[in-house]
Amino acid sequence: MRMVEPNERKAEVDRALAMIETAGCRLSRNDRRIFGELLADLAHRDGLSPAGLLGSPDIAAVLTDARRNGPQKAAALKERLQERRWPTNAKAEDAFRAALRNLRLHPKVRVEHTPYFEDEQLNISFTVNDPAELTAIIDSLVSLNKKDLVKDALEAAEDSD
Amino acid sequence: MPWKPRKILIEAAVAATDTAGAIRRRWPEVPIVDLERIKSFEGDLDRRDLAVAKQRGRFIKKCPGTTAYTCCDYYILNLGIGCRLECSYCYLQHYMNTPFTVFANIDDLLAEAQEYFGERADRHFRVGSGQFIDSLDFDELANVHSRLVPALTALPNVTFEIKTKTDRLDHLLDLDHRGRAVISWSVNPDIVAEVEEGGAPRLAQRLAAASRAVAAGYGVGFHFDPLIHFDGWEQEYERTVAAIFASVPADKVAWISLGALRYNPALKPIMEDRFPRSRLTTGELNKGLDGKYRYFITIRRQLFSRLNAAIQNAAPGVPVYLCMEGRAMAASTGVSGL
Repeated sequence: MRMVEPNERKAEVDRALAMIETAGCRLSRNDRRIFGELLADLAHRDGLSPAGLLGSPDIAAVLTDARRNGPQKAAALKERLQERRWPTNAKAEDAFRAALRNLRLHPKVRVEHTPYFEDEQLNISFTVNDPAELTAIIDSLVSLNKKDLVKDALEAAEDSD
Repeated sequence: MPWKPRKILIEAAVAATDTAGAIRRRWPEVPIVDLERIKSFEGDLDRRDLAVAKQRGRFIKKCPGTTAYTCCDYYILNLGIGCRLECSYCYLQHYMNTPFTVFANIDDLLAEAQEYFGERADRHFRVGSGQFIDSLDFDELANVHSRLVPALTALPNVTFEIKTKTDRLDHLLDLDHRGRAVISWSVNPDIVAEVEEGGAPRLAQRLAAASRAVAAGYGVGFHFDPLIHFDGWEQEYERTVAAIFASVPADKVAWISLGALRYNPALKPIMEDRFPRSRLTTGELNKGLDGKYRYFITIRRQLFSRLNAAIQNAAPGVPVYLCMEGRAMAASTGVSGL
C-alpha cells in the first residue's frame, strides 16, 4: 500500500493539476476542486500517484488527443475519471441512457432519474408549443409505462460486475 | 497507554454528585477547574479534556434518524459526548474541539425517565445510551450504568440497550436487569477493525464479552454498522456472522442491525487527515437523499442481502433491521425489520 502524508498528497495533486493545465485545459477554481478530489481519491484507492494516474493509457490518450480543444479535453477527462471513481453508477447510467434511447420518446421529452439512482422516481419534463405537439408527447410517453428504467438500469449494472 | 484527561472541569451544580467525586478520585494528579458553567471557561479546550457538567436540556431524545430514509423509532439517553476508541468513520470527530463531556445529574435523568415513559405507558420503547458515547467506554469515566440498569428496567415499557465496542462490562454482570436490558456490540471483521477501529477490542474480545453478558442473563444485540465494502467482504462478514453464533445462542440475540458506511461530507477531510491508512473515503460512495455519502445503491443492496441471508441461515428468525435506509431497500433485501 502506498502511504502518503496529507500534505504530500496535496502537493502531488497540485502537480497533477498543473499537468492537466499544461495539456491545454484551463481549470476554474471549481474545476480544480473537482479534479483535485477525483485524483486524490483514485490515487489513494489504487495505490498510485496522481501523476501516475494521468499517465495511464486511457487518460493519457485524452490529454494528448490533438482533435480535442482544451474544454473538450477537460470534459472528457472529467468523464473518464468519474467513470473510474464511480464505476457501478457509470454502468447504470449507460444502461439507463441506452434504454431511454430505445424508447424513442418525443425529442422534446427529458427523463431524469434521481441522482445516483437513490430511488425509483423519474423526473419527466417537456415544453409544448401547441395541442398537437402535446398529444404527440403524451402518446410517446405511453412507452414509459412498459419499462422500469431505474430498476432495469441497476440490474444491468449489477449483472456486469 | 491508558487515557488520562489533560484537565478536568467540574460545574458547581454537579460538584457534589457521585460521578464528580469518582472522577476526582480517579485522577488525583490531573488539574481540576471548578467553575459555574463549562461554557464560561475561557482557556483552551478540546477532546483531551474532561468536563463534568449538568444536563440542562432533556436527557431523552428521539433518534433523529436522517431525512428521506426510514427511522427505526429509537430513543436516546444523552449521557454525554465523546469517545476514546478512535474509529476512523466516527461522526464524533466533528466535535474535536469539545471536551469529553459527562452529564453527572443522574438523579434528574432518572426522574425524567420515570415521568416520560410513565406518561406513555401504552407504548413500548427501545432506549439506548450509546449514541454520542460508547456506553461502556464512558462507564470507565462515569460509572452510571450501574444505576441506570436497575432503574430503567424497572419501567415495564422500556427495553434498555447498552451499546459498545468494548469488553468492559464486568460491573454490570450482577445487576438486577429483569430481562429487559440488552447489551449490544458494534461488530466488524478484524481486517476492518485493525485499520478503522484502532482503539477498540478485536472481534474475539467483543464476542467473549457478549458470552459473559448472556451468562449473566442479558439479551445481546449486534450492529453490523458501519458495513464496509472491500475485496473479500463476503467471506469476512460471513465468518463474522458464524463467529457470533458460535459465541452466543441465537435465542439470546434480541436484534441485529445492518447499516452501511455513511458520513457527512464535512467528515471526509477529517477522516483523511487523521487516518491516512484508511481507504474508506475512496469507496464507491455518493451523496444520498439526505446529503450524506453512502455506498451506491446496488452495493448497499448486496451488503444487506448477503448479510441477512447469512444471519437467517445461521439463526432463522433472529430479528434483523436496517438502519437509515428506505422501505424499498428492506423489501428488496428480504430484511424483515423488528
